[in-house]
Amino acid sequence: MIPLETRLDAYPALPPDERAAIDAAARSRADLAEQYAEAVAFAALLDAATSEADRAAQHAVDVALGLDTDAARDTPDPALVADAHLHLATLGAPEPADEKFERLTAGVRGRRRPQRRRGWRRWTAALALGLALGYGALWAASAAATPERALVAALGDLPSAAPADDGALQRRLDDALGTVREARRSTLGLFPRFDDDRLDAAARQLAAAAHAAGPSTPASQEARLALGRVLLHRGSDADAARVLGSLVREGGYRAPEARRLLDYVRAQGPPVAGV
Amino acid sequence: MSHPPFHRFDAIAARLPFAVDDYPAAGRAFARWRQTEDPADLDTVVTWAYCYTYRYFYVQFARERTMGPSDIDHAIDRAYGRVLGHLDAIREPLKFAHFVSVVCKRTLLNHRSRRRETVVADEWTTPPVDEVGAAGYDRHLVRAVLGEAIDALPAAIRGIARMRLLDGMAYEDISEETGRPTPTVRTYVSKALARLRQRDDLRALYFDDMLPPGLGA
Repeated sequence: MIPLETRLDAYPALPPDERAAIDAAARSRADLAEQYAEAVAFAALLDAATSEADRAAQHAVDVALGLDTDAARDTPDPALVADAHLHLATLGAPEPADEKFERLTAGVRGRRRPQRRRGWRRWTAALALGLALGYGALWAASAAATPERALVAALGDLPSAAPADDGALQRRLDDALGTVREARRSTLGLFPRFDDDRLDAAARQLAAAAHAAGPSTPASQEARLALGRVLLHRGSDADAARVLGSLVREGGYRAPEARRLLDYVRAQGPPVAGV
Repeated sequence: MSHPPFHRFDAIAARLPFAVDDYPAAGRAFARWRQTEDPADLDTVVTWAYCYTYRYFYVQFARERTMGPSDIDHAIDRAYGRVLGHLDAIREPLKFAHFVSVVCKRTLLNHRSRRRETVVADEWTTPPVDEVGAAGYDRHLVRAVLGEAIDALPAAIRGIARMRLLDGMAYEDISEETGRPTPTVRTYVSKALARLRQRDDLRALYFDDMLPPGLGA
């Protein structure tokens, strides 16, 4: 005995009598309801493909509509075609086909697909592009207007925190770096400028933190590198060279960065003695 | 040329750059309109959809005897309005013909259902809709999609699948024609069915999952 599940697989291609047997069996199988429904739907689709009544109706309609289609060229059962023509005549066309078309498509033809939505997207994209280009131009102008010394010191790139073993020292260092950040003024990151008084205050805080950290510790190196950059920005080249030079001499992990800054300081004036 | 009751329908169809029954061309036209937003492409899309909808309902109503002129007028208006109202919601542009056919089918089934509720049918004078007609499928579109799906089957089962599913031949006749035992023919058809069930384009016709929410009922 073939299981019902397997018979349902073949159901759509079975002749009516075999389907009827499966129909009867499937009624008592709620567990197969979904599979049965799919089989019935698929069977109906396949039946439509071979329906002679549909074939005749399609032919009759396409001929009546004056269409040049495969169905119009087809030669179905003449009796069925005659029957379809007869019923078509009784149906008629309450509204002329062309007038109906014009009525139903008024306001649709000629419109652009999702004009509003696509238009909105296009405007948004154009606006974003315009803003990006505008910002790019302003950024270039800002970079051009920023003194070379400020670009080298790059106070805007200072770390927001620095390592320290001691909690109190950590706070002092963070406060000092915070003061540098607070000294910075800009609009949308463009045309940055720094408040001199705050930078001087930050320099004092950084010097104190470096002193408290002790020589060669990471906290000391971070504090002195930041201090050197602040001094460089402020134009205190001699002091900047002294602080940066000490880092270079120690050869710690901040020595390369200090060397780069020190080279800049040297290039600005007479050699700094003792470095 | 259109017969008198349908005057000037042929003039509308003549605006199309392809035949009304060229379903792949309709899909391509719709996909092109989605890309270009060209009003000329939209004209093609709405014209084809109108021709298809009009033709679909006349075919369905020509084979069933339960509907009258006002029914067909209402059904065409409703189905076509639904198609036009959801042009932006169609997920698979190349299956535009599938979408329109499913909308038409649903509209027909809903129309029948509502009519049954409002009209007391006279069972002596109103012949029932046969089972095939009741499903509301478009035979020509089904054959086009099914034929394409069968062509994609392995050569070993393609011929037998065509004989059974498109030509409607009995298993015994196929057996005689091909020289293969009837159980073998049945097995081949079952294998073909298993593969056809996996085809999205066929399933889209008998499951209404192409329809956006709200159009299925």
